[in-house]
Order: sequence, then C-alpha cells, then structure tokens
Amino acid sequence: MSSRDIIESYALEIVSRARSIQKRCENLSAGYYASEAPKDLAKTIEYICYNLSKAVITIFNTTPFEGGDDNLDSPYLLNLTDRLIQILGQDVRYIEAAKIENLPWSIIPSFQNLARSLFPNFQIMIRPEWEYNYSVDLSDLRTTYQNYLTEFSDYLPNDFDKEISSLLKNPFFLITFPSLEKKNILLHPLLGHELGHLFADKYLNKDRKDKFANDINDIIEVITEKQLKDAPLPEGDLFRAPFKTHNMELALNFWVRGLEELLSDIVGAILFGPAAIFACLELAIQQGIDIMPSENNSFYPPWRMRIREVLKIIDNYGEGYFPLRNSNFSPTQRDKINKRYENIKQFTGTKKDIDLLTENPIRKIAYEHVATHIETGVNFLLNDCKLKDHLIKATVLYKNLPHLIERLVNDIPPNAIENSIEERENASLVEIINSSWFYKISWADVVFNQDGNFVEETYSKRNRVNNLTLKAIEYAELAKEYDEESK
Amino acid sequence: MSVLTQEDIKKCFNERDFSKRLIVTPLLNPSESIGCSSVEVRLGNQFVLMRRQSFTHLDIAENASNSQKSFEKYQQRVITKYKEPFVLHPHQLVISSTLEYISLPERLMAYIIGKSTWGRMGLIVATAFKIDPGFKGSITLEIINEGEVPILLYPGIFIAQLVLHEVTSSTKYNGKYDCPIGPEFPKFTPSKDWSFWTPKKST
Repeated sequence: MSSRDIIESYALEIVSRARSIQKRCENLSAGYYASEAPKDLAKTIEYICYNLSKAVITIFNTTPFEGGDDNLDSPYLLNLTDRLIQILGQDVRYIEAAKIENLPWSIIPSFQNLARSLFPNFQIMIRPEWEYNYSVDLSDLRTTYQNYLTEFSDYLPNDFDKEISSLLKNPFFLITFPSLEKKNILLHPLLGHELGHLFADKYLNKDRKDKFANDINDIIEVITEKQLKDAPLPEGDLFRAPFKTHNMELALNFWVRGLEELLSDIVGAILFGPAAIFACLELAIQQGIDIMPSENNSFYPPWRMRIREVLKIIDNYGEGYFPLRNSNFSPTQRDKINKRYENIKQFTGTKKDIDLLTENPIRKIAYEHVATHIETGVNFLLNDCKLKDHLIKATVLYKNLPHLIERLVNDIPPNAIENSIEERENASLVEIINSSWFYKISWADVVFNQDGNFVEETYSKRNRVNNLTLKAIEYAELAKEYDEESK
Repeated sequence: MSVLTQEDIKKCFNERDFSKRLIVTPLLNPSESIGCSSVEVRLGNQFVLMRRQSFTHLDIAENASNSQKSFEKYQQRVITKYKEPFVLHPHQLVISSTLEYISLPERLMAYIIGKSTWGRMGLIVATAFKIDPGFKGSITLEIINEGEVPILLYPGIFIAQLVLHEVTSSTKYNGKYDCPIGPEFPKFTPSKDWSFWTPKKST
C-alpha cells in the first residue's frame, strides 16, 4: 500500500465523519425545541458538513502527492477539514442539550422575547450543561463558522456564505445554565446577567482598554521595579520586561473581568429588580463571599462587591424598594423581606473584600480603576444601551405583587391579576419572578424544626413554588400572545 | 347537590376571597369558556406515552411503590409547542392534562367530561373524572383514540368541560396530587386490605 492509498482511506474517514454529523443534525432538526434557534443551528451544521464532505473529495483529487511511500504527511487542507468537522461535531452537543425536555421550556419564549427586546438583531440560544455554570459565549457562532470556512472558499459553492446567512440570519450567541437548576426558576434572573455580558462587552472596547493600559503604565512600572528589587536578575529590559508585561496583563485581566461581571450584574438588576439581588445571593453563598480574583477563578470579582453594586442599583434607581412599607403586603411578608434586605445591607456594608483586594498592589490599582468606571458604565447601560426603559420602579412593581403573592399563598400560579372574569391583566415576567421571591423569603427559613429535623413540607413548598412560577410564566406569555392575536 | 349554572359559575369566579374563589387560569376567552352549565377546558401541551417496546406488563399486585417506579421508568414525556399537532394514532392511549390550572374551593366538586364532538370522532377523554373539593392543579386526562384514523390534537383546543356541583358541607382536599402542572401518572396507594386481595408473597 502506498502513502497515497493510506491518505485516501484517511479521506474516506473524514467524509464518513462529516456524513455522520450531517445525519445526526438532520435527525435533530426534526426534534422538539422551545425555540427555533437549535433547529437553525442543526440545519447550518448539516449544510456545512454536507459541503465539507464534498470539498474533501475535491481537495484530495487536486492535491499533488509528493515524496515516496515513507511520506505520510496528509495535505494541509485535508487535515484542516478534518479538524473543522470534529469541531462541528462537538457543537452538535449544544443542539442535543437544547431539546425541549432538557430546558425550563415554559420560560424560554418569555426569555427569548426579553432578549429580542434588548438585541433585536441577535439570535440567542439557551442550553443546559451538567457543569454548574451560568455563562454566555461572547463569540458569535455564525461569524466563527464563516471565519473557519474562509480557507475552503475555493472548494465550496459560490453562494455558500449567502446560504449560511440565510440559515443563521443573525449573529448567534449561546447562553448556558446548569442542568441541575432546570426547575429552579428563582435562580434564572441570572440569565439577565448573562445577557448583560453582551452589553459589558460593548463597553469594554479597545479604546477603553488602551486607555486603561496607558493610565496604569507608570504605576505598573513602579510595582514591577519594587518586585524585582531584590531579584538576582541582570539589569536591562531583556530580563525585566517580561515581568512588566505579565503584570500589565494581570492588571488588565483584573480590570476587564471585574468590570465585565459587575456591569453584567447591574444589567441583571435593571432587568429583574430585587429578584436579581436575591438570586445573586444564592450563588454567592455557594461560591464564597470574599474569594479574591485570580487566574484560578477566571478573575471573578468577590461576591460581596458584586452584591454591593447590585444593591446600589436597586436602592438608587428602584425609588423605594426597601425597606418595604407598602401596606398591601402582609406584616409577615414585610418583616421577612426587610430582614433579608437588612442582612444584605449589613454584609455589603463591611469592606472586607476591598481590604483584601488592596493586599495585592496590582489588584489594588486595577480595582481602583474598576470603581471609577462603574458610574460611567451604568450611564452607558442606561442611556447608550437604552436600558433606562427597562428599569422597574418600586411603585410599579409593588402595584400587583401583593395580588400575585396572594395567589401563591393559595397555591395558584401568579400569572395574572384576575379580580373578576371581566378583569384580567397578564403579569409580566419580572412581576412573576419577584412575587415568587417575595413569597419564598417569607417562609423559606423554616427548614429545620426544633428537634433539628428537616421539614419536608418546606421542601415540598419550595418545589411547588418553582412549579407554579414556571407555569405562571408560560401562561402569561401564552395569554399575551392570545390577546394580541384576538385584537 | 345541584349543577352550577352560568350565573352561579360567574359568581364563583368573582368571589373576592381567594380561598373561596373558583379559579380556571388562564381563562383566555371567558364568554366562550363558560357555558350554560359548565366551564370548557383546553388541552395542554404535555403528553405522556408508554415505551411499549420495553414495558412488559403492569401488575399492581407487585409491591405498589415498585410497580409505580417501573411504570414511571417506561414513560416518555413529550412536549409539543403550541400550534403544532400531537398525532394520536388509532387505539393509542396518551396521558395529557388540561391547559388550565384549576383551583376548586372547598365547597365545590366537579366532573370532567369529554366534549361530545370529540367523542363522535372516536376520541375518549377523561375516564377518571371526579375532582374533589379543594383540588388544585391541572387535571390529568386519559385520552384514547378509539377511531380508525389518526387524530391530530392541537394544544389549546377545547377538549373537555367541567361540570360543577356544590357540596353539602366544606371539605379539605387530602388527595395524593400536589398541585400538578402537567399530566401525572397514577400514584398507587395500597388500601388497608391490599394483602387480602392480592397473592401472598413467597419469602
């Protein structure tokens, strides 16, 4: 067997791999999904694989084979095709995971509508993952695919790019949530944070990054010099420059990641109001309040700081959320909510995180700059990104909340304000989620009884609230659509 | 125990106190839903089917919790989007539920009855049709196509009707179904004389 024969059978395997993915995507596009996004992605991958398998044949036939039988180097493009097909194969998992039964499907239409109102020209797909992670992939998948395929332009149909753009009509982004929390609807305001990343990414443009690097250049120089003072290194830039570069990169990571997360949290708070802060707190408890940003934790800012900033938004723009004085809430509800608020206020009032941040001089300087950018960032979000229109004031939110909570108290989904048959007003996503949070806070501290036993009824109640909330979101969206069509 | 008429039903819907109020939500089109002596309810979008190819039999004489586990193990839940049909083939049984969530006050009970239009097409809806006072949740519907041709079921269509009765005295719901929001498989609870009626287990 000659080397050409071996490479020929390699080509067979590449074609087979492409066709397997093609087939899988064909099957998947016939599945049930909560939105069109997974089907669009399946059709796109199927189309790319179909054309790549054809490209393999052309590439093989047009490549001159040089060298003797001892040369087993396969042609570069053939290898590249194989690698690309394997990457596309990995992406199939996004579609498989997004099947309707794997998602909190009843909230997807509401969430998609929210995302569409913020980014009318983006397509956003939500998928679960067993890794405990809420995240967004900031690289647009459509552009990524188009970039991958530029090297193959000679081997693909002339209208290939046009076809991709007709399958994925808009930039395509993936938002991930932990499978484990599928039904834990009260945590899902965190998806608002993920949408926030798309705004934060806009804020952290090249000009701002360059300006930051420029502003801290001198101080990083001083810090590096201080670090190297006693180091047994020869004088001169050859040995010292890499340390400065490293410190510069570190500062940039602290600053960028800090602002990214804080601004995204702020977006979550703008979109979901108090529910955002309660959801953040649940995640913070899992992860630790004062964990310092580092390479090990992808430079996440400490939760104490994050919640402090969210609280500022709630307090500064909510116009009187807390303390809760509205007499339409029951005294117990007011009492429990206010206690939760006081707790949050108290622990964010402690500056332990800031003290810890200043222990490292690079972290310190980066976070001083983070602090100066928060206000500009909030203005950017409210005005440039037009999020001002999404701000929910306390008077508006609290108008319907007592009625919705009353429904939950009576084990009825909080999907609408229904005082009589003739009087029905659909509740909004934000009202529903907040009503469930306010309701849950009013009893969820009774987890162990006096004997220290786990109170099963509290556990059942927790699950019941999640179910009723999921149902309420589905109902409200359906009724909204029904009312609009019936007009 | 008389049947509630349209006027009575409206009064129950308009009751101020939630615990006394009849709730059928979402009530998308009240004038169409509330009939002269019933409330029409719609088909939900969740369906439970049996994976027949791997399910051997159902024997409730086996340990009740075991038989329930195996029953659940072989079920397949299908969720369809609104405006998309669910195809029910001849002689196929599917478990679904009402689209609406219902809350009956403690002074009302109800019967759920399939709409005769469907019945005439061979579609049998809801065979276990009594709903106790105080029940809250979506009502599970057992649907069978007894006709000869497949029937396309669209979530949201009116499928059955609730006939409401006032009970002579209030009573609390103490059933097994805790505010279901979709179709639920049966929960077997052995009666006290269970062992008398079922074969003795060899030790």
